[in-house]
Amino acid sequence: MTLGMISITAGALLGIAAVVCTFVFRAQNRREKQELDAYTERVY
Amino acid sequence: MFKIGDVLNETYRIEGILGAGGGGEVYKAYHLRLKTDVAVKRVKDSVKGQMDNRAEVDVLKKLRHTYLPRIYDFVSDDEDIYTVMDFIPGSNLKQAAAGRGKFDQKQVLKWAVQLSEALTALHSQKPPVIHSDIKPENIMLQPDGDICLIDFNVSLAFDASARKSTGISVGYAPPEQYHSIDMYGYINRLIRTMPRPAPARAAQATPAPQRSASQRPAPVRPAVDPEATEAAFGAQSPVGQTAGSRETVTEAAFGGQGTVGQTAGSGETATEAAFGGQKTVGQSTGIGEAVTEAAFGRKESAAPSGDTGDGQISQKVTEVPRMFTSVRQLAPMDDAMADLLDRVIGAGVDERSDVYSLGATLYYLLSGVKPTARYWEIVPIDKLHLDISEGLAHIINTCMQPDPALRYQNGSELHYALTHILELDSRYKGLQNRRRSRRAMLAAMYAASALLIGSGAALRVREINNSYSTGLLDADALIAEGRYEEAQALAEEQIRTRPDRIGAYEKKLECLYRSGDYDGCIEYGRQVINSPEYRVSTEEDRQTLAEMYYLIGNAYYERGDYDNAARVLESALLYNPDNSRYYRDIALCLAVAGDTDKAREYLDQAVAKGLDEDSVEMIEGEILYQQGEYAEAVGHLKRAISMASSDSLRSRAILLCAGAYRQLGEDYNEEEISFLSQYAGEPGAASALSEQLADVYVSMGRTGDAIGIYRSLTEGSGASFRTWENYAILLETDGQLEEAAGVLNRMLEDYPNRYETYKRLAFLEIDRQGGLPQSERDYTAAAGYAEQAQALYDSTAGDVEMDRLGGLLEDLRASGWLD
Repeated sequence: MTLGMISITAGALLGIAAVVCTFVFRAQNRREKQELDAYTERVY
Repeated sequence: MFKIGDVLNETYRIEGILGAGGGGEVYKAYHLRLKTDVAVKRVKDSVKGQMDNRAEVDVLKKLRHTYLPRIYDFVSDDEDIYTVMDFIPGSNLKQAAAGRGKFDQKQVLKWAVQLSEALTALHSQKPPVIHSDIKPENIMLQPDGDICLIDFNVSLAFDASARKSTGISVGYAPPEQYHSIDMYGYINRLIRTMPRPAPARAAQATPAPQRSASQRPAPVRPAVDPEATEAAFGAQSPVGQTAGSRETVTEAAFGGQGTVGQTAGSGETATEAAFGGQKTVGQSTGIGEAVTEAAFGRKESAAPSGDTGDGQISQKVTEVPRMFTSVRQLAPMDDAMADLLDRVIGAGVDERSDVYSLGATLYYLLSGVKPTARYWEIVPIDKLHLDISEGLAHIINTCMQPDPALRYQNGSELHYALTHILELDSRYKGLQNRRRSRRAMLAAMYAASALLIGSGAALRVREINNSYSTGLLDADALIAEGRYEEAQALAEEQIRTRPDRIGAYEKKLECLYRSGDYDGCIEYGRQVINSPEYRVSTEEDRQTLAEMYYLIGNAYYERGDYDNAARVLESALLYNPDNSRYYRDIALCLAVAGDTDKAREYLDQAVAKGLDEDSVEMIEGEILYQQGEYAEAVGHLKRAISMASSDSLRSRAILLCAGAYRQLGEDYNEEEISFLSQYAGEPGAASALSEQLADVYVSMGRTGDAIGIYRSLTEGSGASFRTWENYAILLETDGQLEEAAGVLNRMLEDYPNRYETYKRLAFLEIDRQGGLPQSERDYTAAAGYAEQAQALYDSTAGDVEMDRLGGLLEDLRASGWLD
C-alpha cells in the first residue's frame, strides 16, 4: 500500500468518525439546550 | 398653591394634591377639553429662568414612550410655571416594596427591562435627557403590572453646562452626582451621626428572609448601614416621620431644587432641608415614611415641615463647611477606592449616572435594603446569598461600579445586557463553550479528513505519474536495445494505467515502427487518433501527438505510400509546426513521389526552421535524383555523407549516391568504383554496394575482380541466396565450372527447396556436357536437375529461364540425346 493510499484511507476513516460525532454532538446539544430552556424558564 | 376647584390656564381643573417636595407641589387635575386626568406639577422658582431657553422642554414634550409619562404642556400663571403630564395611577415601587420587603428575580427583571427601555428613550434624545433621580419612589407601578418612570423635574433643572445635578437621593446617587468632596464628606458625617432607628424598624428595613434560618447561608454584612439609611442630610429642622413607617429615605437637594416625585397616594413624609434653601416642603399622606431632601445653595433658611413632626433629625445648614480634601478623611479605605472617589466626585452626571441609580434601585428591589452612600462599604449583590441568577447579579454589580467608565455607558447598553442576560449565566456560557468545543473538534476532524484525502489523492496521482513516466523511460531503454516486444508490452501497461495520457500511445507506435511492423503501426495509429481516449491539454501533449503522426507518416513512407506519408506528415505540422524534421520528411516524400516543386517548398521551410545542413543536402540530392540530374545529385549526396550526423541518414545517402552512379553509366565507372570501394564497408550497405561494385567490374570486363568480391561476400556469414546465385553465375560465365558446381552444391545444402539452384545446376551440366566429345556426352544428370527444378517451380512466377531450360531439354530429346 502506497503512502497515497494510506493517506486516503486514513482521511476516509476520519471523515466517517466526524460524521458519527456530528450526530452524537447534535443529540448532546439538543439535550443540553432542553435543560437550559428549563433552567431559563425557572430562573428568568 | 392651588385650592381644589381652581382652574389653571382655563384648561386644568385642580382636583387634589398628590404630593409636594423640593421641586414643588404636584396636583391631580382634570383636563377640561380632553376629558382626562392629568398631573400638574409646579416647577421650582430656580428652574423658571432656565425653561425659556432649554431644549429639554421641547425634547420632553415630544417624548413618547410606553414607560414614560407623556408631558402635554408647560403652562404658566402670573407667578409660576407648571408641567402638565399623564396622571399615572397606582403606587410607586417603594410603596409596593413596603408590603413585602423584596421582589423575586422574574418580577424585577421584567421591570428592569422596562426601565432600561425608558432610559434608552431618554438617553437617545438630542440632547440626551438625564433623569438623574431614578429610585423606587420615582417608579410607578401601574395596575397592569408595568412600570412608569416619572419625575423629570430634576432632569429639566439639570445644569447642562456644568453637568451638576441639583438633587441627590442618597444611596441611589452615584459618586459623580455629588458636587464636591466637601458635600459628600459632610453628608457622610451626617450619616454617621444620625441616631439609630428603633430596633423593630431597623429589622423591618432589612428584608425578611425567604428561607428558614437553617437554610440561610452565613450572615453577610448588609449592603447598607441602617443608620445611614435613616439619616437626614443637611436638613434644617427635624423631619417628621409618620408613625408605622418602615424606613426613612433621605434625599438631599442641592441648589434648592430638590426632587419631587409624583407621589400620588404615597403617603410619604417629605422634608426638604435647604442648605441656604428657601423652604422645606413636607407632605405626609399616611404611609409612614420620612423623606428628607436637602437643598444646598440657598441663602434663605428652610422652614421645617409642618406635616412631619414625629421627631426625626433635621438641621439647618446655610453652607457646606470646607473641611474635606479627600474621602480618606471619612473612613479607612482602600487607596484605589479613595483615589477613585476623589477623582469621580464632582465630575458631574451623564447617562452613566442614571445607570448607577437604576442598578441601585434594582439592588433595593431584590434585596429589600437600600444601598449606602459609603461606596466602599457596598457589598456586591452576589455576596448577599439571594436567590438571583449570576447574570442579573453581574448586571447590577456593573451598574453600581463607582467608576463610571466601568458601568454600562447608557440605557441602550444596559437594555442590551438585560435582554441578553442569559448569556451572562455560567450554565449558558458552559453550554456555549461545550458547543464551541464540539464545533471546533468537528471542524478539525473534517478539515483533517479533507486534508488527508486531498493530500493522499495528490500523492497518489504523483505516484501514478511517476510510475507512468518511469515506465515510458524503461520502454525507451528497451527500444534502444531493440527489445521492441518488451517495450510494447510496457507501453500497453502504461496505457492501461493512464489511458488519458498520450505518451504511452506514442511509445507503442514507435515500437511497432521500429520493429518494422509498418502495417501494424499505421493501423494502430489510425485507431488511436480517430478514437482517442487520451487528452491533449498541454503543449507537450500536442508535440507527442505530432510525433504519432510523424511515425505513421514514416510507416507509410516505408510502405512506399508516399502520398499518404506526405499527407499524414502534414497533419503532424498542425500540432508542432516548428519541427524541421517534419518539413524534411514531407519534402522527401514529395520528392520521391515526383512532386519536386512542392518538395522544394517544404525543403525551404525546413531550412527556415533550422534544418541541419546534412539533411538539407540529402533532400537536395533526393530531389535532383528524382529530376534525373544524377551528377548534381551525387555532389549533394556526397556532401550529405560527409556531414551526416546520423548513421541512418549516412547509409541512405550512400545508397542513393550509389544509385545515382549506376544511372550515370560507363563514363563514371572509375568514379563509381572509387566511391563504392570507399563505402562498401559501411554497416548495412556492404552487400548491396559490394554487389554493385562487382557489377561495375563485370561491365568493365574485370570478371576476376568481380569474382573476388563475391568470394569475399560468401566467405562471411549472412550472404544472401541471391549473392550465392550471382557468385555461381559469375564463376560459370568465367568458365570455372567445377567451382560453380561446388558453390551450387553448397547452395543445395543451405537452400534445399529453392528451384533456382536446380535450374542453375541443370544449365551448368548442359554446358559441361556440351564441352565433351559427343561420344562422352550424357545429359541424364541435367534432365534430373531440370525435373527437380520443375517440381519446385511455381509456374505462375513467370521465370523465362525455366522456359528456356524446358526448350533445351525438348531439343535434346528431339536430337536423341535424351529418351
